Order: sequence, then structure tokens, then C-alpha cells
Amino acid sequence: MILRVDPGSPVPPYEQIRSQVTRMIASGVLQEGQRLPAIRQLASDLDLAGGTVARAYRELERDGLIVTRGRHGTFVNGARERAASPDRERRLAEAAGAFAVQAAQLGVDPREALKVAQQAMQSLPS
Amino acid sequence: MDWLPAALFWGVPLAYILFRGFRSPDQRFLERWARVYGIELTEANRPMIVAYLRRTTRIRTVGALVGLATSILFVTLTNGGQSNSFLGNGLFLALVGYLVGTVVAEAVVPRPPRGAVRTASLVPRTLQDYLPGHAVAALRGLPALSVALIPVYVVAKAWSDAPVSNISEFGFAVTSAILLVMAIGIEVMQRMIVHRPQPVLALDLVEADDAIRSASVHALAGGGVALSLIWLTYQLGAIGNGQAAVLSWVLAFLAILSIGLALASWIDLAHPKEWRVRRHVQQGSRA
Repeated sequence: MILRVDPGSPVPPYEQIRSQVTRMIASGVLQEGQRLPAIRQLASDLDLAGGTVARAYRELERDGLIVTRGRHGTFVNGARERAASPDRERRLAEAAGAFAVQAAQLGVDPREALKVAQQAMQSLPS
Repeated sequence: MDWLPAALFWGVPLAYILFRGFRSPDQRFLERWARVYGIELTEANRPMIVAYLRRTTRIRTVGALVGLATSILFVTLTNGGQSNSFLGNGLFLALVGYLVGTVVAEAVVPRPPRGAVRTASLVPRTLQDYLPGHAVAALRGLPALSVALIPVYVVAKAWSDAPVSNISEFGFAVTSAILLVMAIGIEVMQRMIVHRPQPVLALDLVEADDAIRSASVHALAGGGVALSLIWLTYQLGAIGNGQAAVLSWVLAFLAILSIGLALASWIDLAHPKEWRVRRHVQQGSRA
């Protein structure tokens, strides 16, 4: 459960945080109901501005992955809440589109690409 | 040879305090410290722990000795060696000095450097992970109790025919208020220690860093609770003076109990026998 932010990367720091937390939730490293550190703590540990971490948390919350319960803190959302996210289908279509573009750029056969995608899905904990 | 009893009375404990405060932590001491906080000593975290223990112990010892010297100086200058004032209480000012030393030590102890890639653990840090809940409650409750005793003292002084105490109501109230401010300051400092940046370089370094944070937070709690109890002792003694025999005895008993608790809480909190930083217990169960 360690976050790494590379200041030299072309990917903005908030996106680095968002994508790593997303991966940790999808892979089960971060479990439902688990509490995340406060924005101030994470910003201070990563030597980032509070606004950067706040933006990552906002986007994770918009995606239905985490939920902020006032002064109690920020928690990992359950699968049911994630499924109830309003723009779930749109985001899924976006991710599939990005995957298709990447596969086409690499010249991968669509059947092979689908097989790889299926394997990736199966490697996630149910 | 008149000086011999006094020299023995002051010299022996002073020599012991200096020995304890200024010795370099040896292997046995380090192993015991690591066992208390449930961490493993490694080549990487050992220098960090040695530097912390050496500096903080020395600075806290100097603080306590300066406090004690101030008390002796105060008593000598104000009343020719006799004083009933709490400023003449050596233990009280030694604890104040110890607390000041603890705060100063936090500012000067070196911290682990950051790497090129910034890292952080996703496990939250809270004060209760580093300090038992009863210590947090005592640090909040005792100064509040001290403030609550202000009207009791005012009433006791007004109703008693006999002289109650030489401290004025104003002085009583101001000291309680100072104690309350001090307790708030200690909790703020404890939270600053808990929340200061913690770059994750390796698990053994993080565990050692958390043990160090916990030791500092414990030292502040031990000093703060002991100081509050000493002031409470003085307050109970002041209220009990000039009261009916039974009440006076009860309050005197409570005052003695309070001073005993002050010493016990300082020893127990500042030097815990075993304390696992809960953050790692949680992290371990989820890893």
C-alpha cells in the first residue's frame, strides 16, 4: 500500500495518485471500508500541494471508488456503490476505446487483444 | 563535614541522572527499546534510532536539570531556602524543563531524507495509533479538573474561618489556566509529531520512524500528565487546609495519591514496557 509519485514524469501527480489508488482497489490491495489517509497527511508525505491530492481524491470519489464521510475521513467504497456510479457505462466505454486504440497502434489482432483483456480481468480478485 | 549529607543527598541522584542522560545507548539498551516498540533492529534503522535516543535523552535531561536548578535558585533567592510556593517545587519545574527539552529535541533530531521518487504509505496516522487512549483522556481531563477546582477553592477560602492557603484565588485560577493551555499545546505538538512527513523508503525505516514518533508522543504525555497531577496535588492540599478534620484528611490523602500517580504515570507513560504502533498492527493484518 505504497504510493509513488515521480515529479519528473509527464503524467501529472494527481493522475499518478488516482491511477495507483484505482489499481489498488481493483486488485483488492485496498479493501472495502478501508480508511485512506487525510489529504493533509498524504500531501505532506508526498511533498505535494494539498490541492493536488484533493483533486485525485475528488476524481476517485466521482468515479465512485471512494467516499468521504465528513470528519470521519475518506473510505474505499463497496462494489455495490461503485456499480451505482452514474456515468459507469460512459467511463467503461472510454476505457474500452482507449484499449482498442492502443491495441490497434501495436498492430495486435482483435481476437488476441480480447484474449489479453480477458486474462487481465481474470487476474483480478472476484 | 556538615556538607557531606547534603552532598550525598543531591550528589548521588544527580550523578545517576547525568549517567542515565548522557550515556550512549549500548546494544542491550537498543534491543530493549526495539522490543518495547516491537520493531526489528537492522543496519539501516540502527543509526537513526541511536541518533534519536542519544540526542533526545541528553536534551530532556538538560531540560529537567535546568528546571531543578531554577527551582533551587528560586527558593534560595526568595525565602532563604524555605518555600511553599509551587515554583519552589523541584519536581514541578524539573518536569517543565523535561517537557521543554522534549519539544526542543523534536526540532533538532535529524529526519530520514526523501528519495528522488516521492513515496507515501496509504495507511492513515492518528494520535491514538501512537498513544494509549487513557493517556489522551488523562491529558485532556486532568487540566479540565484543575479548572473545575477553581470555584471550589474560592468557596473553600470564603467559608473557612481558618487561613486556607497563602495562594490567592487569582493565582490559583491563572495557574490552572496555564496548565490547560499547556495541555492543549502538548496535544498540538503530539499531533504535529504524528503528522509530520513520512517518506516511505523501506519498511524497517518506516517502523523505526513510527516507533520514534511514538516514543516522543509518550514522553510528552508522561510529562504532561505528571505535571497536571502535581498541580492537582497542590490544589487539593490548598483546598484541604483550614477545612474540617475529616475533609482535610480526605483531601490530604487524595493529594498524596495524586503525587504518587504523577510519578507512576511519568514512569509508565514516558517509559512504556510494551507499545506497538497500531498503524503497523492494522497494516500487517491487511498485507
